[in-house]
Amino acid sequence: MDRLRVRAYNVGFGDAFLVSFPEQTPGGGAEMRHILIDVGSVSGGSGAYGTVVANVLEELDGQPLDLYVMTHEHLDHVQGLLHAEKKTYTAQEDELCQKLGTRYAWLSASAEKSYYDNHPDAKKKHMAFLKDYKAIHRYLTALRSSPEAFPPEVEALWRNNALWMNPSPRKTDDCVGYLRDLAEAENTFYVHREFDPQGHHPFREATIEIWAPEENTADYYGTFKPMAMAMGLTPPPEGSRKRPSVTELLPPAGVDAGAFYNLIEARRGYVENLLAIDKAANETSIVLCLEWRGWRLLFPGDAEERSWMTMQREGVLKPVHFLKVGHHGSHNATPCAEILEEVFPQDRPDGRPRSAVVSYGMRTKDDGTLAGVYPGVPDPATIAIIEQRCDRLYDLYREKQPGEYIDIEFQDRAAHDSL
Amino acid sequence: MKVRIPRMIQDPRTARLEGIKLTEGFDPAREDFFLDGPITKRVAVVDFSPTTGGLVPGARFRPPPRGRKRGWYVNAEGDDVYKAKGADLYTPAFMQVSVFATVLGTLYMVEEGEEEGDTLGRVPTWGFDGAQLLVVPRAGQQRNAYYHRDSHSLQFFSFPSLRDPGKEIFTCLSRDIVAHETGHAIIDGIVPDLYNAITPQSLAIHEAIADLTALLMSLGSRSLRLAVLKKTRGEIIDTTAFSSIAEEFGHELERGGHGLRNLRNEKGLDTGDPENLVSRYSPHDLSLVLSGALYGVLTRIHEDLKDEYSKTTDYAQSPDKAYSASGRALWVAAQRLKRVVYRALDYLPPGDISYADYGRAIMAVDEVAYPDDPKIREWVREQFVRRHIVPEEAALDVQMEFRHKEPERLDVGELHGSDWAAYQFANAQRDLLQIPEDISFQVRPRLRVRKRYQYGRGEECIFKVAWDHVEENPVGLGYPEMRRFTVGTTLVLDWETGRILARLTNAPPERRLITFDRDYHLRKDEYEEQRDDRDVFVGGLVASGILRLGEYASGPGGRPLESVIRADVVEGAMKARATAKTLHIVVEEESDG
Repeated sequence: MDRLRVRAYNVGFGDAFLVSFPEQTPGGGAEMRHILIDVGSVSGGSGAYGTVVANVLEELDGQPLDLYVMTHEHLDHVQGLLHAEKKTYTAQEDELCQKLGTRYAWLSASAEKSYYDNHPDAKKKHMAFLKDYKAIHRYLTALRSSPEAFPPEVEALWRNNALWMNPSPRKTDDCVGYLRDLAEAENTFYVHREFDPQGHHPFREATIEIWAPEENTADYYGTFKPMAMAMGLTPPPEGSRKRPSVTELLPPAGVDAGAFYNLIEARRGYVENLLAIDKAANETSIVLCLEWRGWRLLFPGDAEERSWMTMQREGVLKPVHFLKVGHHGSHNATPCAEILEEVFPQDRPDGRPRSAVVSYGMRTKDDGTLAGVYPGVPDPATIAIIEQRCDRLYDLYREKQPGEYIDIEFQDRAAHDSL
Repeated sequence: MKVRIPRMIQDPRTARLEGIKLTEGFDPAREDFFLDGPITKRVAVVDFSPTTGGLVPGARFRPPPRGRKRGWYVNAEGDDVYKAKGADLYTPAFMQVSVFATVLGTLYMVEEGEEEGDTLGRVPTWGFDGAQLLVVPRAGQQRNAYYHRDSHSLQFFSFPSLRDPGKEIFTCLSRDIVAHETGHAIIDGIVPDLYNAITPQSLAIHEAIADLTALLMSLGSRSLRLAVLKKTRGEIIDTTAFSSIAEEFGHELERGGHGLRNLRNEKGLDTGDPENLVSRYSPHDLSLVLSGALYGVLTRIHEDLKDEYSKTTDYAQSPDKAYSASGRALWVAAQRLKRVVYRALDYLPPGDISYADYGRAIMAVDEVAYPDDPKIREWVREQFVRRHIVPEEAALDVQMEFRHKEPERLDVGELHGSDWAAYQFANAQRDLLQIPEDISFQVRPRLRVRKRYQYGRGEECIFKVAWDHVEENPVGLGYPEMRRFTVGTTLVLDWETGRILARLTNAPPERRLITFDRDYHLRKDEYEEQRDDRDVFVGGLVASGILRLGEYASGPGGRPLESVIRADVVEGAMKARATAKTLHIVVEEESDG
């Protein structure tokens, strides 16, 4: 094989990419290398994750996986392997882990167990978000049994950021824990922009740059705090095993009722808190730039605006030939025009073709029309902007069924020209 | 009906000035009724439990017994809240009553002497469609407080004390913060267009005047005024007690003991003075330039009056005449500053405005009211030039008392009362009002104001006409190539004679309408500078995902996102609204809104 291949799997709402490429051995031969970047959600339905994992193992053909990359701690990026381990590879406790034989694993810096102990600023913000999430979790749990409903997109946000959800393996912490042990401890690294990849991967020809995240993730939490988490829950009677119920709030005598209900609505801004929690996790994504024989490929996870602005400020951006569209095509994970111009310029800097791939999921609304699983994801205008700048945009949702894949290939120019 | 209620002057958990009482009494006397809460027709305290989010019963109102005139508020135990001290200062009932008293006191300060036309010459209304401002004293835990127009509310948060672990610092107990946020609500009622502005200086004016409102509240506190003057022997230039906004809040934020914003500063826009240069694009930083300039004017008024008073016989016989004169001078100086600061808001042209627009409004109101006393105007010019807000004093010139044939025949009463007459007038006077030839416009409700002048009292009709200006919008990423924002003209007319007292406009200059080259070029340079500021400010909001188009500004279920500024496309150009939310969206977590 004289080409690099990105195999993009449709796993429903989530990411899974197997990057395979040949490298020359010291003896003049060639050997295949494999990088697996995220194996995401199980929303593609039963069987989809199993098919994907089976295909990955088939491609490895008994050879060890050279590098596993976990971009960030979201279910739609971390859930697949543990799920497959629990549901399919059950001959022994770590059958899948053994079969993969992962040589190196790179996880986002903040996934390290002691990360928050070593980064008090980030810990403070993280703990505040955990507190918010717990309050939202209690409220949404109570809301489920009340006549009030919440939009289906909220369910997706709630679940994807579920740090305490049961049963396992729907719990993100468990999935991340599994990935921490995928490779030997001495070959498991928690990476950030200042991490030096040299010597921490087995590749001879391919080079890797880490553009993000910053080691200190405190800045990614943003500065906006929506109104108080004041949803109003009435505790159950003492001794009762019932859950708290949603408190009915009525305007006190003399208060403008319309204004009062507007105020209550504004104070129940839990969706914005969920979005803020979701965004903060996205911003911690590893943004990985892989260079092989003149091709440059970018896998930015779900990094959003703040991370892109930091990357620009740090001067790490450069033009690429392949872009994994961030955050399933949302408008806030594709950088503004000025930054996009540095990564995917209007006028291509060399004669090589450019491509991109986007993964997302859709749901059918009550009226029969389709909508994104996640609020505002994908964003057609953003997809159009990317499409306009590349030769081919691969759309996993439209082109493939769950469990299927698209191969995107990058020919070794030198080998091709010598033919 | 009257009540006697307490308000916190300095929270003992954060207080720094010795010799000052913790609370002072306040006797609101302009409310139609009082209810539990406290609640009146225009201010209602709505308190939520920080743990459950449920409603907490408000302090209970006790009407005056037969034969007595004053009612009072009691806590859950039936004790008079006015007598609260020690731990009782942190009970829900005290916080509810104290924040209510400070909000109402700030309102009263702006309305003070209204029957004599002391400030606006009219009773201000809220910037939202409703009569009642809701006040949430315990909105949740974060280092913040803000005015929120959509929910008609002031939100006061709390945070754990750094100095005293285990204790909570309540922003609703900070007089400065409560006055500042109430200031935002009052300003929004006077100049609602600022809430939708995309020009950084327009948003900064909101901040600067809110800070000055807090300053004026400090100066209105007799016990604070006297304690500070006693300590400084009559000087205010060298003390931060008045000039630091939310000083106690600042101490708790580990900022070296400085308040959140120090109005005694030399901040400016001079790129040759990097030490004092502030960002042109950050409304909070930018606000320091204006509030610093006006604080500088206050100190000049104070010094001038102090010198004058210390020469009078009474003070000359005092053993410490400078100190004795200083107290009175400070009170009078505060009144003069308040008059200028608030009246100028009423004179502003509609829409987005610059500091220069505000400076010209100050020139106009002061010249109308004090034609023979130009000192304040001179000091304002000096401050604005020194801080590079304007390139030269001539940039603050306002055309006053010019003759125009049509308005002389005008029936001002008809202009005030009849929309038809107002539109007819505006359409006939497009050149006078600087309305472009081919554009539709909107005449705003006319204001009738009765004010105190240097010589007696005057009555004015404030006439405003607004329209949209469209300019390039170089932000890219699929956003419209053009944007629109509101501009307009204010005409101040003498009610009796119909004479034009002043004309103020922020319309981009049209060569055919401006006689003198110098005036045209000053206006053109000013417009281009503000436009460049808008480019950077709007571009920054877009790049950071805060400003979004149409449905992108909504979350699941189509609910508008609070953390986002919505812009719509109107006839091909982008129009943003509620940009003032950036004052509490983009600030660092540890600052106030």
